[in-house]
Amino acid sequence: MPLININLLRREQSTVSRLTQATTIVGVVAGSVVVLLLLVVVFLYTTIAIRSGQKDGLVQEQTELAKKADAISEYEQTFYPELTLGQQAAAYQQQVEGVKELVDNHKYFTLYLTEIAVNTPTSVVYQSFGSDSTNRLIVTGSASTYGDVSKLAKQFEGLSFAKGASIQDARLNRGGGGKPVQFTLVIELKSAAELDRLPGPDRPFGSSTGASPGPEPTALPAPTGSPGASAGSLPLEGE
Amino acid sequence: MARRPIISLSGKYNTIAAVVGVALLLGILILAFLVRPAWARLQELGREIPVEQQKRDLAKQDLENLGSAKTFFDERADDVETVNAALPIEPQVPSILLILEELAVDSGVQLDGFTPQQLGAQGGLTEQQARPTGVDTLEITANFSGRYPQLINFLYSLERSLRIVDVKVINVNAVRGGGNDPVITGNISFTAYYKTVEGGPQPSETAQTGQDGQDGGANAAPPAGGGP
Repeated sequence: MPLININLLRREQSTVSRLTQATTIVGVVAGSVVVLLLLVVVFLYTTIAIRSGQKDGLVQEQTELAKKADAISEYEQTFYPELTLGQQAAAYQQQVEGVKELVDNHKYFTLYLTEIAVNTPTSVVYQSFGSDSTNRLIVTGSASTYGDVSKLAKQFEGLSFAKGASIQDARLNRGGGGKPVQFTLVIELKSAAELDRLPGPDRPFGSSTGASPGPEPTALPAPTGSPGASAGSLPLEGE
Repeated sequence: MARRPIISLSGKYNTIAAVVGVALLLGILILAFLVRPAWARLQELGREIPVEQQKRDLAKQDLENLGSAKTFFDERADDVETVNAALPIEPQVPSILLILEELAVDSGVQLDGFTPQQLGAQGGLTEQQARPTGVDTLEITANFSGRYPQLINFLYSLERSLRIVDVKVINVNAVRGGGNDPVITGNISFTAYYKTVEGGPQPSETAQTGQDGQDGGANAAPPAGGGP
């Protein structure tokens, strides 16, 4: 209840009263704004405290997980000396991928030689067999005539492990002894994975001693019916 | 004559002005020194917490992966041994020579003069294209002599050996002896593989130059096989 100065006129009293009320209202509003701001501050700092706690908890959790991971990482294996478990796992995965690819492209020379022996005429003798990384078999040798080389190339096209065969080189060798026509034939090999009759081991990689307990070599497909192969062996050129 | 005001109103106005001024000043101070830094810190936390959550999730995932890896290695020790025998993480030249020697003895082929040559991953472009990523190669050349069936038996066993070894080249130098079973002499090149891995043993520079027998005392391997 505002005090009334009885010495004032009614109009002046009214003015004084309004001013007093205005002062009060301004004071209350200003105070409210300040209090509100302070409440906002309290809210913000409380939120900060909660969020900081959340962050600290996450960091703590990470530290504990890292400690557990470190403890597991000390796992040791003979094959991976001084490698952490993570590195071991990565290495193993890479090895498995490498092995898969190598096995798919493994060279089975016994299959190649056996089939080549069956398909070789008497007029041809061989000097070398080589494989390269692009899955080709390169055969060098000598023959009696160019026709024999051509016939041989045709025969090679029908080999079970061949995608195709071509004559890379054929020339007359007048000076040396033996068969006069020297040749180089290239056979495009199917990958081991593509071969119908995969001559692979009975179990993936054999025994731990290095050799697999696969079928005995006598179980090799017998080279029969060869026009020129003697006793199933390749005609090889010597001195 | 003008009537003199009985009361001065300026005091009231001054009070209002002072209240507004103080409130304004307090508000500015609160905003500047309390609200603004708190807001900035909150924003910073808002950025940091998801990052920490992501790190925590990754750490959890790593731990799970490591646990799985450990379980796998424990349960599949045989597979791990097999894979490491097929494609070890280092050249292991002596072990290859032992395998070759053992197979040669078993089949009756005589092998001598082993020449191992580590090509690493520095081979020619064609070699690199055809080789599985990161797989390094080791080439071994040896002279051989034996009868044709012995040679075939040797190759047959080699193709099925635990360590992956590919025959690269067979050169025939001479065929001696008549009849159906002559003795063949020549040289044979093998390619063996290994996989260098991060953190694992790395082949030395000198070993990669491919000098004869400089790795693992390869030339110390005795001639193998019983001869024809």
